[in-house]
Amino acid sequence: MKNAEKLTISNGVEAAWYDASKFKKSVVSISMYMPLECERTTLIRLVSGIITQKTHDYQSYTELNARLNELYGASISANSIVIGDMQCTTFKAVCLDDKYAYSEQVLANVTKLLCEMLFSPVMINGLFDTDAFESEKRLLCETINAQLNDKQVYATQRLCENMYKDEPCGYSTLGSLKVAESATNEQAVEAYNYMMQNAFVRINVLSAEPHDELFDTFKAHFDKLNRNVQKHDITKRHICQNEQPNIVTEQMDVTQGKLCMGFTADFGNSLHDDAVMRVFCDIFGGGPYSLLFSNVREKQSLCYYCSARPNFTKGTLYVASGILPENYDKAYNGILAELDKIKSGEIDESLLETSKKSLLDSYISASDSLLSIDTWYYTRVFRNNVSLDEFCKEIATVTIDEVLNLAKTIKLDTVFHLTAKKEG
Amino acid sequence: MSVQIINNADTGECCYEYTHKSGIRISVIPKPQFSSAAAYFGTKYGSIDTAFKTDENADYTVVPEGIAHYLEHKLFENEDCDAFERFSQTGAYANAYTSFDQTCYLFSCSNNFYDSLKILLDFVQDPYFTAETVQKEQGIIGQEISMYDDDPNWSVLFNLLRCMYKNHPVRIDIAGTVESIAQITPELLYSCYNTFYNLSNMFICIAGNVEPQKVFDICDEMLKDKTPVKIIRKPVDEPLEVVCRYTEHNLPVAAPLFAIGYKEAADGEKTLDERVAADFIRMMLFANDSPLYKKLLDSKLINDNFSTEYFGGFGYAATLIQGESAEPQKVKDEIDAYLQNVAETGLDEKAFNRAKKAMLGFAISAYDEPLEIPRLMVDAAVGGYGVFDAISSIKSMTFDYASKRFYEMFNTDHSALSVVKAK
Repeated sequence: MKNAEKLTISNGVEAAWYDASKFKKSVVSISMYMPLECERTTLIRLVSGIITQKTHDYQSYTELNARLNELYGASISANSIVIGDMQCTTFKAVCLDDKYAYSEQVLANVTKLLCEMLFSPVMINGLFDTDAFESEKRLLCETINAQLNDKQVYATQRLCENMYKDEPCGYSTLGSLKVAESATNEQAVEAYNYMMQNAFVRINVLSAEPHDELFDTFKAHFDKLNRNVQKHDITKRHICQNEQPNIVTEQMDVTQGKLCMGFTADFGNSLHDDAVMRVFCDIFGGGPYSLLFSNVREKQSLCYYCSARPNFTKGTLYVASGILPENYDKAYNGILAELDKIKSGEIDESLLETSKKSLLDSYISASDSLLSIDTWYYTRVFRNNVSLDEFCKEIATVTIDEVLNLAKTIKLDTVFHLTAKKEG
Repeated sequence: MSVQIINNADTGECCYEYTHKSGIRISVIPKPQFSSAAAYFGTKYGSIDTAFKTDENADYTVVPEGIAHYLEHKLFENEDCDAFERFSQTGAYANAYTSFDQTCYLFSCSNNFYDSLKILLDFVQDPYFTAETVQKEQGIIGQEISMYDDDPNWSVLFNLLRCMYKNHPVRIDIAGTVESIAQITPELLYSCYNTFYNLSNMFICIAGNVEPQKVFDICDEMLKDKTPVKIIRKPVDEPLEVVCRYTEHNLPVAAPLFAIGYKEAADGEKTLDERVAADFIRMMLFANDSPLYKKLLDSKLINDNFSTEYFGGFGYAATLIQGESAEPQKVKDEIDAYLQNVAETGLDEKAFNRAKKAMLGFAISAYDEPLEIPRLMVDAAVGGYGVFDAISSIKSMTFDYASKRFYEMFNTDHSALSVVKAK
């Protein structure tokens, strides 16, 4: 394998090795992409937890972790995120690079465990081990319920549920509590088999040496499955259906309210279009120089945080802020007023240059983080899957006119407002 | 200029250290293969420093709760412009934080490092507080306090600290309260600044693609020559006994959250070996490969949101355990019983050996990324030990020492349970 060269190693399986010789760790990530769909998304989330609990040689969670701790604190985890209308489930092994491990072969051993989990999960008579199934089911239900605890995360999730209510990405990446509670072992096995047969797969190996033998191992496992998978992203751009913004308010026993605003934007699918959107979001609500931070937070003292972030695949962006409940109207109008400033051209080249400088700096710094590199590549599998360097080159060429033209297409779609319960 | 170079074979890294004539130590770990770098300029001053004097004062100055954090916010604002505006010219990312015993100002970047370093050294040494600027910050910090008031993890922890500590200021919220920050004046801010932001009480920690000599030259150019100040913190009479054994608070959460604390005797600060041994004990007893963890998980008493921390500083030391459970008291009872059993039967040497390998792995890989390494260097600076000493301590830790340490750490009579649950 050559550094950063993407190859198709089996049907519907892409793989790449990235030179991580400057790091002290290695990462192997196997990401599986499926269309979001309430029941199957929940079951796959459940399955990802079940199969990473044990292997045939390490028959309990604690035995498995004992082995990983012996391998200098290695870890194997599973996580699901939403990318557009797709569920991306990533199985990731992180471990100390062999050259720091006092002559032990850590990477090979950890990857062997990862492969056993994914390709030969512990099953008895065609079903998952009952204890593992029941345990993971309980944990998933509790995790879904616990979304309530972090009000910032909760508010953003509620915004998405309302904004995308007729679209797959309105589902939480954790799935549905109802589906999780009623899931059966048979359904979980069926979801596992479906995932292994039909998911598009991206494997990243970030290590000091290419380790071609790892890719041979992955290829052999996937070839045995006789898959017939096409690389296909079902994501559709979100179109705003409302004449007026849809405003949803919820009351809870909170001191600080949350104001989350979802906007649509009209831009293309090229790498440069992504760069323009990124710069726009940064100018609007990125660093301390941004309009939302410097005006809504600093000058008007309306919120503790107020930031904007893009969703490239859905063609949307979100503004999230923490506000005092009595400041809702001022914050709502204040945020829209800053957007209007950009639309009417009240920003200048110096702000554009400041934003670009900051973004370029942070993207270059991201190449110094192994997990950031891995995440960059597996989250861009269906969209402009280029290097950080190439994205930086596009950012550097974004013009003020491009930002202003994009701003003019931004429209408020949905608002989610979490506020304090009123007395009486 | 006398520069000390410390090499570490386990990580392959080396650290360049220079002590400026003001007494401040500057540590640099160069990482020439990387693109970025980060710099922390910090002071050994945090939320627990509520009563202090210098050797020139007769009486202690007592300050409002939350002032260290308030000062951190205000220091970014100078008479002419604010520090963020200056960093925006270089493209660096800047931030700061205040914890119990330290305040740090930091930036990270992949370009213009030396220009950004000059900005950092300049603005931290140039305080500017007026009645107007102090007043303005009350709104923003008030909102920050509100945000933390709604955070169940923050709430369960601080309620626990208030249960455990009667007099020690560690029981105070780092940001203070809306009432306490209303008492902060420019004069008080200057008093705190002039005491704790003396270079002899500070440190500079840098890692990444930088040349150490260039860093030291800039420090020589920019650091102000000030007479070192001897800081005397008011002694705290803190009993070993906890204030109360249980506290409960309501917030809108799904399952109840719990925090359990086991208080230790703490005159001054624990040594590095004592802290490292405490981390060994935590791994052996509570990590995800321990019999206790398995029992609690299999009994459905906990979920995978379960963590522990060794919590220690000047005059305080405790082992904290946090998680979620429908039956927090039962979790506490199970842990107490388990600790009793371990006290009678002893620790498991196989678990110790596993913990050693895991901790070595964590410690070595922590020296990976330029943006993360300075945090370790800051811990060493605040703790008064060498940059790589923690790795040496892990390697030389013995089962016997760790076993002895166990008996110092856990007395169930000096423990408390804090719960946050829905009404």
